[in-house]
Amino acid sequence: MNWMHSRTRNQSGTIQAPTVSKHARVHATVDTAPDADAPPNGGLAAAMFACGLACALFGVLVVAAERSETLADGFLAMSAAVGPLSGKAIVATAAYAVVWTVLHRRLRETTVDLHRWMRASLVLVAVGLVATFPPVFLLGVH
Amino acid sequence: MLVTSLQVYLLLHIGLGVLFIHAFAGGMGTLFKEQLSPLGQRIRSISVVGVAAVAWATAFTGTWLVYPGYRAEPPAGAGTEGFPKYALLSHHSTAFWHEFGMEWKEHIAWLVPFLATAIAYAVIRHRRTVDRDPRIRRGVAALFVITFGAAVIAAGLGAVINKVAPNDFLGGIL
Repeated sequence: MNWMHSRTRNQSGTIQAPTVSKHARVHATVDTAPDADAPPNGGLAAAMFACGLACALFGVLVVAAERSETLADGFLAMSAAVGPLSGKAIVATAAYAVVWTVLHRRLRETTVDLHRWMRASLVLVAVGLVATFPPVFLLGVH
Repeated sequence: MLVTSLQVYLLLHIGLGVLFIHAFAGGMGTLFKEQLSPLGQRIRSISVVGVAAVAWATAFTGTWLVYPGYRAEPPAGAGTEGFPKYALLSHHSTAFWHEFGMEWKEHIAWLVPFLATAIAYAVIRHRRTVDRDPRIRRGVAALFVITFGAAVIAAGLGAVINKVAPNDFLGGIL
């Protein structure tokens, strides 16, 4: 939608507001779908979603580790000095990188409904935030 | 006076935290603006990349360099002095700072680099989308605020825990 950004200079050199046709105004009010002229935004959706997924996965690992000593002291204790936190960090970071790479390759040339992807990402981030709050992940654990 | 490696690690970790806050300020001041000058764009880019880089460095040093010193187990028969986790847990009045404070700090801190990286990517690679779509810009700005909030919680709890726990390895430095 170049009309949204186009500005013209008059003879005195001052910038005039863009002229918008009646048709363009009507079009602008009803068109909420991805802009045909817009650059692909799938890459942004991929980054945000991968971030949300990493946060949620980290939260799930925190909750799971409190409920399973086998998981906490076994698989997740990748570093003896750091303990289960090492596994949670490594697994979530690896998942972040893998999911981001895969999604980026699939979406980078596409234009998606970014608002929907953003909402999903924010929900996943919220899951991560809630799950890493001690009263939540220690709920029912002695 | 000799400085031990644990002291160096902790000071590095704290220094990175301070850097994080300063880098955040530039991003916050520019992410909510609709129109940005070229200088504003540059400040925003440097800020979000700085926040992401520092977030990874802080999480890494905190987890792999400082945290092992915090959770180290005292040898059999030894006291808990110099072993912060066990010192906190040995008294009912201070156990809260491990069971709530450190547990929250060590976990919420790891969400920060994930969030900061995605924000930096959005601002650098999809600047046009962020600039012209107010909802997306607000979403990115909201994530940026969440990132900062998580970092402040982690840093604040770290400061309190360092005060409460008898961190003897800090002797002479702080």
